[in-house]
Amino acid sequence: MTSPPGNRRKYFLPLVLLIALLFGAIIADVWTGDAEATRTVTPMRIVSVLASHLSVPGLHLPPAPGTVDTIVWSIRLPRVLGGAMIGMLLALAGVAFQSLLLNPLADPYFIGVSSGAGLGAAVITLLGGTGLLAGFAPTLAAFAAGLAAVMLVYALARVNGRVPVQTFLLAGIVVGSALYSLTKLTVSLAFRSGEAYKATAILTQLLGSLNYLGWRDVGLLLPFGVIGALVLGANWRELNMMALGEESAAHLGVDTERFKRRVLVAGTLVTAAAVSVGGIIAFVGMVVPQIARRIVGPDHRRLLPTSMLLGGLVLVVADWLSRVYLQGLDIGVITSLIGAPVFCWLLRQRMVTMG
Amino acid sequence: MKPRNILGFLFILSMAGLVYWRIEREPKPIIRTAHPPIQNTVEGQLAELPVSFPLSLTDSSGRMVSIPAPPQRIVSLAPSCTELLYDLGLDSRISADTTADDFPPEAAKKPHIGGYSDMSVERIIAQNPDLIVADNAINKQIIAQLSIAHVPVLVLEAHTILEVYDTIRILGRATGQNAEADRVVSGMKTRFDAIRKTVGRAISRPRVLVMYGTDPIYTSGPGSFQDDLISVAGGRNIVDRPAAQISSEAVVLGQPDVILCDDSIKDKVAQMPGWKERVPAVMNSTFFTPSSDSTLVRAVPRLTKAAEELAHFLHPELFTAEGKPAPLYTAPQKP
Repeated sequence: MTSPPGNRRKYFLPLVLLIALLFGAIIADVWTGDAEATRTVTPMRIVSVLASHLSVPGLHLPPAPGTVDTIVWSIRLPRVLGGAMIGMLLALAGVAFQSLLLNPLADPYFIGVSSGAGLGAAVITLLGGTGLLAGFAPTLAAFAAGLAAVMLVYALARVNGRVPVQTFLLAGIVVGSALYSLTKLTVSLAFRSGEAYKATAILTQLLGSLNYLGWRDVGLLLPFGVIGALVLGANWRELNMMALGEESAAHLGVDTERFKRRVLVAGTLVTAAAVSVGGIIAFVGMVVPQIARRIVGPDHRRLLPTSMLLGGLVLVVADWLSRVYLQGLDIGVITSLIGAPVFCWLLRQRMVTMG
Repeated sequence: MKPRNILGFLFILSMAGLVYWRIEREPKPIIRTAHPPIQNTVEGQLAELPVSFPLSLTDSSGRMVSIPAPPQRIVSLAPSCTELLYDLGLDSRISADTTADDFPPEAAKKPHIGGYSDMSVERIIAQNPDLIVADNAINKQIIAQLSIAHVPVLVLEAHTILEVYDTIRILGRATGQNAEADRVVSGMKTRFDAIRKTVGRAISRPRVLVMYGTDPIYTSGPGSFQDDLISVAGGRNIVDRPAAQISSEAVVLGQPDVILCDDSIKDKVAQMPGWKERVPAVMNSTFFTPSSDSTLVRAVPRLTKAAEELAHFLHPELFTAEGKPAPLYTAPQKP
């Protein structure tokens, strides 16, 4: 399956552009921070810190003070890179679920996976176990609860051994709302138990926030991201065939039910990693694949990397906007405020495509 | 106009708005103002207020409260109010308090009208109170609802230590315990003065940060009694403007030597990215937590105890093991 040269150029130009933009956004975001710090954390010192940590040969800059080193290397950089990875994971999950369900509404937020994962992480916070299993406890709980949510949705939507797409979406919305209510219950319980700090932690998670991400969180996101991307990337052919409709895919030799399960588990895994670290960040998984499809077309071999880059870019830019204009407002609020009008615009433009 | 044109226009308009807003404003720190400016203290004015019942007085929220007779059935809506009532010797006249009340221990045995989040107007009214004492910081919603009860509601609110003195005097006046109130206030002043005198000999003033939560970092700046306590105890708050929040970067730049926080969040504080290698308080594990019989968060006389403990923590060389001021160095007498 080789593409004609014209098509290839259409793919590589946006890809190179996206990579350049993502790098630019990451630099801009590391550049900006708390206004109190801007006087001390100068561009020259930022370059010096990065050069010393990455041991760039031939660069001999005056060493930056220790506080600047900590601010740039331990506070800003993991936040920005973690944010970019969360954006990539959410976009990846969005592509997976949208292709699987042939529905543009199918993002992890709407089919109950985010709510399930959020509940899992919230319960761990309520029980005070965030530090267990070397910090992996919230992520594993999020994965377990997210998977349980999807399985419940799957079971609810199952009719005569098959899972019709529309029913799946309806079941997802119902289960998602129920799980969201349970998350609100954990907030209420935390307030009543007098441990208000747990309640604020869960609320921050519901808002979606990149504040205080550390290298630990980046290390936590990385394996899940790699596994998810590999599983979905290896299935690009099947994802393409599914776009022709379930029946056609079955005729072309895809074991559709098994394939659905595999993609659901992979999508849930990446969503759980993103939610347990960054909280519930809506609209990225829904809007980003739509825009990526407009840029490179529906072929998943191109759609998957493009969506990932675009998702990372969107989150880093949102984080930068939040820091420069909005006093560090929680990122989930910003993605929703930007994402909803963009989705409306896509809808009016008849740009929202199935699958 | 087509919908797409309208949307495009709105988008450009909002972007222009953002840019304008950005240009108009100086970069501001990520800090939100917590309290309104400190109000004029009523100290000194109280002497002229009526002593006998019925009386009318102005409470902390600026409202006029009329109290026909010395209250006998008082309902307290906040732990700080309950403590003040006990401090004024009104133990037998408290008919109900909240489930959050843990000091003095007897307060837990009173009937409860609910806790922070499940306070019930019905249960308050069912107590048939003749005075309701509330704290504006935590009871805002229920204070508004209580206007239907036709019971005097005394609203107390103290941000600074001076305002704590005021609330004690207001409560004393409202309950006919003026003498007790004056005694409690002068007792507090004496203890604070003693601490100030002792730490006055200190050579250093350690940098201090108060933390109530890690995500976001809630703190107290000037204009709060926590800030007052830090300076009384011979420390320096790294938050130098009225603020309720501080960014992680500002903490690294502020280099606190000591962090005041609850035991429950210590682990999370130690795990803040970058702090373990750069924030002195985390590197040396110098966390200060007030003992169970003192407090850092309630505007009550026990703040003096917290100030004593903090002074001892910040300047151990100035105190004996029992927490008494160490004797001054005296030159050996010549034979």
